[in-house]
Amino acid sequence: MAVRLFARYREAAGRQRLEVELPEGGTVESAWMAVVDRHPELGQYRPFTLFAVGNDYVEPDHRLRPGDELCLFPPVSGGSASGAA
Amino acid sequence: MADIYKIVEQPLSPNAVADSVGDPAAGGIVVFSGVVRNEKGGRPVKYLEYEAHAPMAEAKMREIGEETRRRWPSVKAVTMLHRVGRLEIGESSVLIAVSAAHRAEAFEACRHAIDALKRTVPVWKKEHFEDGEVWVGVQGG
Repeated sequence: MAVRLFARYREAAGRQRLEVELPEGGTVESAWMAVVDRHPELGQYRPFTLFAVGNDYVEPDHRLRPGDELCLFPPVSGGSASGAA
Repeated sequence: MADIYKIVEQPLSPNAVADSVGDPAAGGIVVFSGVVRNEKGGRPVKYLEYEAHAPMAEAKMREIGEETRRRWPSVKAVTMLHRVGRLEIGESSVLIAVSAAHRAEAFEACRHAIDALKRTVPVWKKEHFEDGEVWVGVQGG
């Protein structure tokens, strides 16, 4: 299935997209482990990782379907300066 | 005019955004502009880079706008724009305009919208300093 990397995930892995093998009904967590298997440098970011499919955030136990594209995000930091602004 | 929720690459215009939420029944328009600052934690910032998952960011902004309308029913129009790419000190990265029958709701709704955007919309900021660069957020920054 397709995995799309954003921000520091893309930079660390050196690519924007990759394909991983997943059994039918595999969870987001197992997809994450398949990604880290190929890109161990991403493993350290697991505690800070947000997952999304389509336009929705999903939990690690969410079951993926054929054709889903899993997105990996760091914590969001939009708006202007963080903190007091 | 319908509400507007967009990720854009061109410079943002507060005047155009205020016009976009104009309504004959609106007595108050509030525009929030988030602007790139020149320092972070005492370190001078050279410039920022923003990145987004654009379709999901637009969908999340729309959800925020719809929720804002439910909480403040006197809101007449909402526009939310977030810019991506390289931004210099002083440039606006995000504009939110809200019009409402009266000013109290316009202020509250606009405040709510920017607070919600910063929590949930998939946009990321990378700070570029003289001596390095860092994606904001991973270390809680």
